[in-house]
Amino acid sequence: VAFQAGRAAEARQALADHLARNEEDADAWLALGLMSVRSGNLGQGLSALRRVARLRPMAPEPYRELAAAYQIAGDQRAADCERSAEALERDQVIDLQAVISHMRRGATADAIAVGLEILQRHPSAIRVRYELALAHQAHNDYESVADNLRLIANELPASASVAKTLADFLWACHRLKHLAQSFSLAILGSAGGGNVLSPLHQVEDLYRAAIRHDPEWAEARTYFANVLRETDRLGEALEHYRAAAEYAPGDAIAHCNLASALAAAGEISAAIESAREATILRPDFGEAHELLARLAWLVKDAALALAHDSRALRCERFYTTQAFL
Amino acid sequence: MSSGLRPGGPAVWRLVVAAWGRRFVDRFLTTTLPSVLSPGNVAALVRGAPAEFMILTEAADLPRLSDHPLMRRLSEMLTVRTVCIDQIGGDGKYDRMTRIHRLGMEGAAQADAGLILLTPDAIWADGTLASVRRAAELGYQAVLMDGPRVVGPAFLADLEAFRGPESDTINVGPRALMELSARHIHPNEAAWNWHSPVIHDAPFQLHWPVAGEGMVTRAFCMHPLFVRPRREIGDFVGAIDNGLVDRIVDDFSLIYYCRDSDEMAVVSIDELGFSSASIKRTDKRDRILRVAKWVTSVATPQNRHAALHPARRHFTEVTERRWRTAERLSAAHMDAVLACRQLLLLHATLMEHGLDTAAGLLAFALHQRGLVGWLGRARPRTFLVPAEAAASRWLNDESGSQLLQQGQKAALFCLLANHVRDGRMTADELRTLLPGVSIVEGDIPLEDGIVHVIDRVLG
Repeated sequence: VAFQAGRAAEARQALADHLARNEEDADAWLALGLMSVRSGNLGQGLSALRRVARLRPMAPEPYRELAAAYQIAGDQRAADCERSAEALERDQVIDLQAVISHMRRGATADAIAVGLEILQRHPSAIRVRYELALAHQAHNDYESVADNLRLIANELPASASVAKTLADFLWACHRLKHLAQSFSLAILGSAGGGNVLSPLHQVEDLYRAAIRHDPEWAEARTYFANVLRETDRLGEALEHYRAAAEYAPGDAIAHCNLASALAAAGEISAAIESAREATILRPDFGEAHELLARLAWLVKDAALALAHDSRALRCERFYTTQAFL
Repeated sequence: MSSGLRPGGPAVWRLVVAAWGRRFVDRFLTTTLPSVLSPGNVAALVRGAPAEFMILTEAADLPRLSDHPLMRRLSEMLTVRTVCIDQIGGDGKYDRMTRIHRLGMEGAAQADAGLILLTPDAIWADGTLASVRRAAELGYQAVLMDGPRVVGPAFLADLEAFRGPESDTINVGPRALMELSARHIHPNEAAWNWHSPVIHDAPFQLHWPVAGEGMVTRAFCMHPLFVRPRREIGDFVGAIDNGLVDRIVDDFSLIYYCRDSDEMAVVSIDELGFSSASIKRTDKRDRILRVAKWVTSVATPQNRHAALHPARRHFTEVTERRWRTAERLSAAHMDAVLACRQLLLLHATLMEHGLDTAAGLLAFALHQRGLVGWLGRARPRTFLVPAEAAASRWLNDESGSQLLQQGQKAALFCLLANHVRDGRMTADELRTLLPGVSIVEGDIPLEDGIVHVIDRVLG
């Protein structure tokens, strides 16, 4: 109402207030994005539209709007967005209700069976394939998830969500298979059967693509930084951890990862601050308390160290995280 | 063998499986049921005794089950009963599963039924249920066993070699099954390997490989393949591997723990994935602490009892010397875990009594100095804990702060050891042993121990 009455600033403020409380409201992000672009605030507009694409990766609208905004900005990402929007617009003619109804009642095996039937008739059905990937995820069948996402990623080059999710799964598959291989080796004296490791450069390319199309996505930054640390590139990892903590100031995991990387880089005071922030954000975050205690010992702050060592021990169970610790 | 055993099998056998949804019903029909139908399993179990096979499932899955030829074959051997579970809800899938299991166990005590609890996504080695019958007839009230998890598709392809000529049963012996499992081992199992550089968030079992032969396993949570309830357990909450056996069995010597896969073997079929976020880096000392933490917060008394019983999972003849070495090592590690648990319980007690500095020092020793095994084995002990003012004063002294620096691990160990005595000593007993030391607060109870707060640090 405010925007239609010409009170653009008031409208944007109302939306910003609403989004602070409802971060997952894609419609509100879309409205904010469109308003911002129309009123010439391209930076805010692109950021909001990218958030819509993150929340609704299988809808053509956000890519279409992003393509238009990037064209105004003279940004080359417009072409990827255009291609992604077209692919999804073509896909709209395929009815996925049969798959979705099975998914809604948790009948994932039925959803897979119906989805495969549809794919026989429409091999490039993107949204059906996406539902299939979700169903396979429910079965912990990571390789099938990755196979489906790989095909979708080719069709949707602008989707940070698809690129990041595929990277997450490939990375998980790599870690898990590597682990299983080592154990088979320990028992049998030879590697097991089906554990072929996927090349890590794909993972890296996908995370870079995700960050290119959604640079403010803290989780993508954190996960990519974890891969970089794992492969001994602490400097570049630190950049992404810093960005993640900046874009998601309320995310304890982002702060904890940043603290860990800062500690590894010898920046102890900054590491203590980040670790402290993580423990404030998540008081039950045992790993963050443990890290903070370790850092406190380094600077000989016995009181702080003892307090957080105790807190770490009292955390009921180790809080499951993507923390690189 | 336990002296409390009363030989004689149950009056009736009831095999129970809960399977619903296309995925699990199909897996049950194509893998679990064919392996249960191998000669040394269901036929050997129910020979000469009344028996029923109870399938707990949803109405939508009934046609798929009833039309299957193996179900008809099963019904020639025993009574098959399908029970509809559509009306059973629950707070999440695990709670629902517990409610469904309760339904499957209803009336068992009154009928003196021996319950065989099957899972729909497992392969049972030929002869497993015959071994269960033997243990039941000896008078055991529960038979606990478990097996490794494998990654499905490739494992299932290899398993086809063991399918019978008419494609209806899977006759796989325990050693062949263990070898297949080693080839297609699930990463979860790898994270439970004691020597792995990572650890799983829920370390409910641990493995010690014996290269070229198999692995020793100690499991806190084991599958109760057989239970014979003496009372109804309709109010049971928890999971069948985490609480059920505590409810059923009062005397743990009536539990039969499978010690060798030659006797009973199973493999659970899964897919590759699970949250890799559940895997954390670890080292030898950190592993002890993490496992102890998990045990402290999750494991029941029966779970802890189970972990004292190592199981051999092997695919060759065992080289006795090598397996004994692995078992001794696993026993030492388990001792360390249970002793570390005693320290975690002590830490919680110290915090409850406002002894923050002493608690902090204990946590420091565990986290920062890796002194997770300083207590030795878990046994009754007396802990002498400096009062808050005394501990705080010591910490701020030069001698105290020096002891916390790097390179002082041995001195810190000695300091901690000064504050522990074997056995449970009352405050009165202690006063005669430690003249000059004042007891500020005495006789604070601790599981397997006692705590006294004293007026000084025993340097």
